Amino acid sequence: MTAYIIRRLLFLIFVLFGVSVLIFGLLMTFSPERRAAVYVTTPQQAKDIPKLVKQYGLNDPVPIQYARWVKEVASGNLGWSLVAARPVAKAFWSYFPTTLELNLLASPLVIIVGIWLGTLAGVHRDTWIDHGTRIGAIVGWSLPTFLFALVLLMIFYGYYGLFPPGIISSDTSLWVINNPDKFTRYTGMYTIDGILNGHLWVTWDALNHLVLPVLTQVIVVVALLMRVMRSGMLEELSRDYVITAKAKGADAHTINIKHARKNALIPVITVAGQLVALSMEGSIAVEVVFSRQGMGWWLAHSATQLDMPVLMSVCMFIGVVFVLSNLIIDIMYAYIDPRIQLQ
Amino acid sequence: MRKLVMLLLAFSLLLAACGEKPEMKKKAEKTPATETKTAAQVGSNDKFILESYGTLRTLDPACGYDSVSHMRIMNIYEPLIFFDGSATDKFIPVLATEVPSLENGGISDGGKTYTFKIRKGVKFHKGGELTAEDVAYSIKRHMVVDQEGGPMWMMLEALVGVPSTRKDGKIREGVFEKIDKAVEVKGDEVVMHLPKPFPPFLAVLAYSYGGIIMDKEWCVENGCWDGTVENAAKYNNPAFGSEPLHKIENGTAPYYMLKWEPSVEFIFERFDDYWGPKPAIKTGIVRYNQEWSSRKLALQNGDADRVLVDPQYLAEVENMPGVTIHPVPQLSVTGAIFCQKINPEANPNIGSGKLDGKGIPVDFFSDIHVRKAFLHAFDRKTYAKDVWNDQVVMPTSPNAKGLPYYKQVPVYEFDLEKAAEEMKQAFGGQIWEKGFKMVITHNTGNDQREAAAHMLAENIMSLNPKFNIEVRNMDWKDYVVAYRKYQFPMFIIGWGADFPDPDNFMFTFMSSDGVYGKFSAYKNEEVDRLCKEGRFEVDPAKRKDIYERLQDIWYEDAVGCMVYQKVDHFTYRDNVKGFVPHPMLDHEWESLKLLSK
Amino acid sequence: MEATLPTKKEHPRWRELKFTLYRIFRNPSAILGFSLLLFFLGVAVAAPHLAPPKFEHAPYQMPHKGYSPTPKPPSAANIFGTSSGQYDIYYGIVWGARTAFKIGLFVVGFAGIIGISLGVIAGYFGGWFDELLMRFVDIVWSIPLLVLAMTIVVAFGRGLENIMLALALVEWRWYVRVIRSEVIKLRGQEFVEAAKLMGVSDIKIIFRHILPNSIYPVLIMASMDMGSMVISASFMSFVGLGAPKGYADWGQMVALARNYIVGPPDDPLKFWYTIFFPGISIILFVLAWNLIGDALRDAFDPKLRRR
Repeated sequence: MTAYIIRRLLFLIFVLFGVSVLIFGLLMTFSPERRAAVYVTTPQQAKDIPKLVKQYGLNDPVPIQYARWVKEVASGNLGWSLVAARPVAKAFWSYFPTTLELNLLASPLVIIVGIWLGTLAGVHRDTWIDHGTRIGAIVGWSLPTFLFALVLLMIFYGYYGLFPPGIISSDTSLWVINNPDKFTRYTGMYTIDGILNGHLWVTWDALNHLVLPVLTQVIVVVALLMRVMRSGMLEELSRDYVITAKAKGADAHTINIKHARKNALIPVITVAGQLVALSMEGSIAVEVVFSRQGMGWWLAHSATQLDMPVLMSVCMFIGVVFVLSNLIIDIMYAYIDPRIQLQ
Repeated sequence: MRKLVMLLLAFSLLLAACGEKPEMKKKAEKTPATETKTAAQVGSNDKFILESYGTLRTLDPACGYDSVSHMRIMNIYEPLIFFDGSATDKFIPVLATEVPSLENGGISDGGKTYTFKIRKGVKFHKGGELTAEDVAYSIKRHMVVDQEGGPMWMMLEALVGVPSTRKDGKIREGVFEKIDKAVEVKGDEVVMHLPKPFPPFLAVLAYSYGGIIMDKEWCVENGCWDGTVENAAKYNNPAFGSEPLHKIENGTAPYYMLKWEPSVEFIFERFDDYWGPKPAIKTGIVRYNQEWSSRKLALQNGDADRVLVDPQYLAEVENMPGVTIHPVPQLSVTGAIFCQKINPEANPNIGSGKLDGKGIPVDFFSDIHVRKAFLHAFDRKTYAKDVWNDQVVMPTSPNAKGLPYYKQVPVYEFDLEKAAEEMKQAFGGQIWEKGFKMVITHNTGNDQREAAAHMLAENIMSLNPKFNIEVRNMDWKDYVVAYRKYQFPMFIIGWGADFPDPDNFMFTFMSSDGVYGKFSAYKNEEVDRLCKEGRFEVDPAKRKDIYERLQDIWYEDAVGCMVYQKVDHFTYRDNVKGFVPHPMLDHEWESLKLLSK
Repeated sequence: MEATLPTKKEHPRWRELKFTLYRIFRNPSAILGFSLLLFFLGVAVAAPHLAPPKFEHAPYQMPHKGYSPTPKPPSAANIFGTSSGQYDIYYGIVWGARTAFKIGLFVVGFAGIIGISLGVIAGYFGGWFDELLMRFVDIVWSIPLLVLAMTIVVAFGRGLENIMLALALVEWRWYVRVIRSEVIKLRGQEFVEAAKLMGVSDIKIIFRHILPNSIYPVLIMASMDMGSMVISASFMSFVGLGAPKGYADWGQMVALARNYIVGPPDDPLKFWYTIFFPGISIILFVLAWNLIGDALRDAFDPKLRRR
């Protein structure tokens, strides 16, 4: 087991290298002028493009540019994010909590609702409950996220003036800035900082701004989980032990909940990566529409505006998270299921 | 398996607890919340919220060269003089006590010496009082920094006579000595020496692109140039983001920066020791909001006092109750410029690159008949009505309406028969006979330019079934790179004034050294000569002749197709008073000190 | 007598297929899915007759009268109304059906072919190729899909072709993983071992035994992807990388209509048609493929099919 973990951690270095080379190579397909144009925002500045190419050495051979980047990163400098107008590391800590906050609230809801609906559909296979939940999920999922977000915004904020967009109201934000002694930004998440500082009305205000984003996020991601849960349930319900249990006269509820559902949960773990990816996609649209600048917004803008240092660093960060979470899942698997041996 | 389930459940419960606890407790704690809320609402008469989507790049006055940076900097720092109301050629003193003129002796030596008397009793946000030494240091410091891609070419052109401190990547010999000598302190006065008269000098000083005044001691403490000529090179051309004043400020304006959270919000707070009258707005917030529907609802619900409205959405706010709209024509024109010598290398925009019906030759637009045909195919009236709802100025030449020596030159009226007539004459009739195929590209996201591209393409295609024009779009930054490689047969691009002078436009669009003139490969000896003469001519009558002649040539030579002169619509809740429109200041602009609610 | 035996008795594969079809069409949601699909297929095929193009060389360009940015409601001339820029929505819906099939077929076809061939080779032969490929997949896997796709589109230039290419370039990794694990399961089974012992060539084994038995999960995934790629493409349009404005593409139409979801305060639903028609088209299209995918899963899955 230890050997396995060590091997996976060594593999992590390999992944980091691979990801950085891949993204770097992709970015190097842009002409040097195009990469210099990243620094240009007005027609006036365009005349300096050739000089910028020279200043930043964008015309040097690719390996030299890569080596330069590695040297900078090794000395702890991740680079400058033009999109965020901050060093990458600093910008990361200002955007990350926003996205984390959204997903901390959304994921338990996704898990609960997804498992519940999936079980329901699986147990009542081929009935109207099954078809209804499935079609409902497909409709929810096939609507582009941004569309759903905007419709919610129009109904609640447009009609009823409830749940405004943004991260927090400007009054609260001002109060927080003007009272640094009363309110410390421990985590960068207003909901949690509000509790930690004992100012629950701040938490309440932040939650008010989170209702619609969380709702959107849940609806986008829940369909996938539901689908996996449903097929897991179907598989389990056809197994021998269920049939045996039935034969023994166990009631349907016990079978469904006590036996089948628990086992059906296992495949859910395998799609965890996919869930994270979906949440990412959801975050981008949610953050743009509800004006909550977080990681999704930052990455999308960096990708479309060629913010190289951000793409490199954040993709590597995600790579690390990905490898580590897979490792944890593997260990969990081995822990749960003694038949699996890690080697 | 049970363990896994327990784990999962425990995890979700934990998260659920994090999320739901505050909601349950909130009722007990509601009282302080409502108290704060009412307190804030009472005072909300002195709070102003603007929602926009421009992102701030830097607060360093030597480096910011876009209207977003300009807006933030100009509300925090002050220049010596500023535009008087909506005028572009009249000024009011700010940190100077009077505007230099020939009459008061501030301008002497035939327009080569400017003397500014410096105001007394002006305090900086972080303490310290303004002195003449601070003023001289600030003007010099900006020029010393001269970041690549920055605005300092204007001040350098005016005070040193060169557009940059560097040439071919190396620092020019003796340039810092020249900078040092150009500005001197005489008691309470600062004197600036110009190598040649530079007519728009005062206008350049009134903008944030070189005329911002800072505290010398504070600057040096925070890592700026130490004021010596020997060390100047070390502070020259910092990399993007490493300019020392990137995110800190110490200005003299009635507002200081309370907080800048990039791409989220920027908060201004009233400075109590301001030397001038106390402004009505105490807190100004600029919130970043990219999504139009969300901005619109914020305006509708009164959660924002002003939002940015792009022209295509204007109709949606025009009839919104409680909203006032101020249309402000800008000194900013957009035109379709023909490239007369296209680069054939790996160019997808010109088909075969030959006159064979499957492409266009590289010198397609060097034939004036082709240019005239395209000009006749642009339906100015329909364009203004459909695309802009007639809320636009249709320019006749690059010299925007509102600039000195503006002249309404004739235009090629929309007439498809004439366009066909011209096409039949082009290339000795070969174009008409064989047809052609090309691509018109516009930059993504600009609906107005997109419409112009489609209009030109569709009208030209209707002349002859053998004419085939495809319309494509490209990210603005790719666009900038491509037109500079002569890749587009025609490019549709805009130009906003750096300073309100025809030189800034006619040179840019027409001279073979101008930013656009160069890449249209248009060369006319007379134009180049006139552009050079016009820049430094002091006699207004002679300048008038020069620039009117240039505008006539624009028509005669059919150099390009002017598409529109931008009108920005400043959209406020109607309880906000005090907005002063200015043609140099686009919709990112806001002067907080003038507003009241 | 020996010769007549196979003709009398149905070939086992044929019998299985018949059972599968029976199993599929027993399911009402599958029937719904297939009828929707047929409808869209009909619209796509008949597009030149339903909405004749204005310029023969650019059939996907939606026709427009005028340039006004404000959408106009349905009328006799434009039965579904016009979008911003006065593009005819009806035309866009009709030709958009072709675009939707194009996106789905291209992405799934491209990703499927690459994924299946690499996955089968890696899974069947194993060895250094397998190791190399899977490490590469691991690397690509840890880059967020959309970020990768967005960067690729920015690199190659905006537009639908490049969106399709980018989606295919990020989607193949799914197919590799799925088919490889199936192949590895089969590789050790007796009938494959037996074939090997009998000296059947590897190519024959792959095509006769491995592929037919491992293709079902890929088919299910492919049918789901056919729909979901349209959504992914519309997401690309949302971040501003999509087809040009007048191009008949549902995703882009929805993305551009998003600024008209919120109408004026006195009539909030004023511009409903700009969002409704392309929106409903996407939903039904995705729904069709998903229902089919679900039905395929239920029908093909050996654990479920005999129930």
